[in-house]
Amino acid sequence: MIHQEMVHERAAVRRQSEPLFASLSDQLTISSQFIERGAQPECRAECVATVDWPVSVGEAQCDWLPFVHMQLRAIESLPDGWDSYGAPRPNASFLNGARNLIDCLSQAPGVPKPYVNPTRNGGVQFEWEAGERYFELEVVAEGAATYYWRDHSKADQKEGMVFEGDALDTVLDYVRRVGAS
Amino acid sequence: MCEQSILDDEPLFRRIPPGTRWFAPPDRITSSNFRLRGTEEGISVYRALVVSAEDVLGKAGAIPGSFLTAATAGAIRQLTDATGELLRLDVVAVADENDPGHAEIRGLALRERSKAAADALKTLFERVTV
Repeated sequence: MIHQEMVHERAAVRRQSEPLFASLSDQLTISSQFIERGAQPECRAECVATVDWPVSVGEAQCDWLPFVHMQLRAIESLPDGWDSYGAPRPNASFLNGARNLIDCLSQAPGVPKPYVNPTRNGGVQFEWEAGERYFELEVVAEGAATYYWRDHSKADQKEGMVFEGDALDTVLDYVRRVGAS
Repeated sequence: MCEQSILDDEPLFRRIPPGTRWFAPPDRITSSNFRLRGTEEGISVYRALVVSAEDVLGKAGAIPGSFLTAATAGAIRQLTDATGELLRLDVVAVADENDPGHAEIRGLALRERSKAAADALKTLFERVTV
């Protein structure tokens, strides 16, 4: 519920601030990236058509994406009570958000395949883990995700939230830091 | 409701559903397995002194192919986050005549430490061979 309240609050703020965001934005969006780079694999076209999570320009990196989409389809078919502790079936709009988010992340260079799993609140979670470093990204609404970073070797941890339209640079930085261990 | 105390050296079971259709590997333990849902107060576990591993896996509603993980109550109470700060988790008995051995890990409800706690629990709980 707390996440839902935050999502609604953030959406209201964004509606009020949209012209300002538009004029100040110096981020490349998925759409402009696509136009700049010309023809791209199929998975990119789908991303461009459906989302607006800005990421940095990079090389195609979606060889694992079809498998993740298969995992998401499997998660979509889960029934109520799939965890044997009363969890509801995955929420369709959360799954859409998860697809959009991972499509965009897959376009950035240096993003390894995530672990994919359903959450007990109807969402989807992507995880990257290597040694002491761990990063998780939990889709908690169609256009919102929370994240958690932890590195035991540096006694470091960080939580945060990203919304559709936000730049994904912070998220990508954490993902790459896991992969760099 | 039985509210007896649970000693630190008491082992506890947590049943994990099979992820064969979406996981690679399918028996990976994730923080999602230790995240609260809705208005839940705690994460369900079972006391190994009261119920056997086979009983936990055979409970009504258990999904075939599920596996068991275990940790002691004391280890749960001593869990810290990545910075070394105590997470202040506890284990309390919540069993009734219909659900003997049932207990809950409490202390995950605070949003500012729920993710760190779920991460610490998934690292702590180890798979049990039944």
